Amino acid sequence: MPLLYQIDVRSRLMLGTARYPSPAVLADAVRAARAEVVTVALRRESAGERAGQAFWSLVRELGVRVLPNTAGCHTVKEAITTAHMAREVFATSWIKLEVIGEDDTLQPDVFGLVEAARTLCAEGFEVFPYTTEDLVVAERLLAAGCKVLMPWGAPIGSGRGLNNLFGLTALRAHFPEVPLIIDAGLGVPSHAARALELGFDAVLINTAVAQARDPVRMAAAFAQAVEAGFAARQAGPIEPRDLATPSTPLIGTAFRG
Amino acid sequence: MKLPRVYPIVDGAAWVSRLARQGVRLVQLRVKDRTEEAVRAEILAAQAYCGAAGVQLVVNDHWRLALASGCDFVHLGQGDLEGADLPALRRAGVRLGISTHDESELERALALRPDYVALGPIYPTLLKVMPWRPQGLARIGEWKRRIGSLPLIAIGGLTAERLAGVFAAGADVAAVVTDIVRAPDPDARVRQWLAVAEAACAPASASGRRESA
Amino acid sequence: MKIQVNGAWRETQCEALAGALDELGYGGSVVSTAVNGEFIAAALRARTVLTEGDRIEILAPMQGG
Repeated sequence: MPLLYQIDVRSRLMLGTARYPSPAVLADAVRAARAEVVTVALRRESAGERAGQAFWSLVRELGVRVLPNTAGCHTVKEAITTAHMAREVFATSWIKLEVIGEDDTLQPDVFGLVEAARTLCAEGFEVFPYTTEDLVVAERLLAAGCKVLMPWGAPIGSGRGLNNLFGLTALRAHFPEVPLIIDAGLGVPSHAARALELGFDAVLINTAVAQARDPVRMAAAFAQAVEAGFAARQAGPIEPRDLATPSTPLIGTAFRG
Repeated sequence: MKLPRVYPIVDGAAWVSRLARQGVRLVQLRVKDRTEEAVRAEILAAQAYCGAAGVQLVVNDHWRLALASGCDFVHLGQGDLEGADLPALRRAGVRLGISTHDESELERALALRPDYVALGPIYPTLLKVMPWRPQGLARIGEWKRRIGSLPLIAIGGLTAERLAGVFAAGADVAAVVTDIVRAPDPDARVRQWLAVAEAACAPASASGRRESA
Repeated sequence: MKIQVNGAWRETQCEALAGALDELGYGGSVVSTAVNGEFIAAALRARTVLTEGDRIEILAPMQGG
């Protein structure tokens, strides 16, 4: 796994923390996944409500690194302000930058994303931008100071897997040295395995685990899939072909002329 | 005011965050030769990390930015004292540490009623080209007698190996740059510093002998 | 004076953000604050003066994807 802003993270499976049936299940899923990084967020809290504090204690006890997000932010200003607030609360300069452009697909507003990334990188944040497979946007994000990219697989929570294989493959090929973490839209472990087989460095999964009938078992399955996909990539897979080629040699076959 | 024994001086917020995670509780952010924007960004980030970890942040020199950002502790060298608006800092409740290298600088510092006095360089230092010869351990004792209960920060060429001697000579706090940030494993080195400082400052029994653990 | 706290109108007797936070019952909680869309670092809350109609956001850690 390449260094993420100089940090050595071994696990290629990152987990989101939202939509779990309970904090206990979340904790078990994180352990089953052997995840080292989890995403977290900030939300309005009522006075006296302790849910936020309890959640933060739970995460700290898990001993994982947090990647706060700017979920729900639609403007550059909102995203930048949220990033500052997250840095203060979570004491990390890591920020998963989301600037949402459209509420049905929750797709990034790539123009706002690049602008916010530029400002935040200049202010010392270590930005993990949630982006598309667009090569030009990727170029602009890297020029803005991002050292890692998080391209979507498919719309958040859709479970569709890797929607634009051509685009994602092109992205991987164009930026071979940049850590690329597929974030959003994966549904089953085979999607994650595929992402790793294609050479992506890691995946971030939330809904597919949290909303599975058995999140802990699903987390473990994703962990296995990520290892399998990575191993396969390292093992040098065969190229796909259009026509058949026999696996059993034809020499010495009976009943031939 | 009792300050933590170990006082790393670093040039960026990333170091602040890293050392805070190893248990450092007092740190100085000393940023030189960068734009005002960049300094401001470093202060803001350092504040965020220190607040969360309960670490006391001291900002070197950039007192205006420190004041504007709500920092509560500033370190000034003798040269920096010239332009500093000390009344404004006092009014804002900002505490002040001042560097000294000789008698006249000490006089000047004490007249300003600082919250700590720093003395250096105790040993030859790699970092700065300094016009003063190394102060040596005896000077620490002299300074401590002069300043009384004000915390005395020893700085300059300190290493984990020299720590016990420095505290024994009368320093309250040991400041450090190179020995930690240029160590091959800074995390381990700072942990070593913290352990040595704790052992060196363990209270003695009434008989004068160290209590056994 | 009337201020908006996390989207809801509230009444405060306090001049500064720090006081308002205590008054509202947030004392001691791990939160971050913004006033009218601007991040206000914890160190600056005591001297951030509030005016009528200010919009305060008080955010805490939460689950997120």
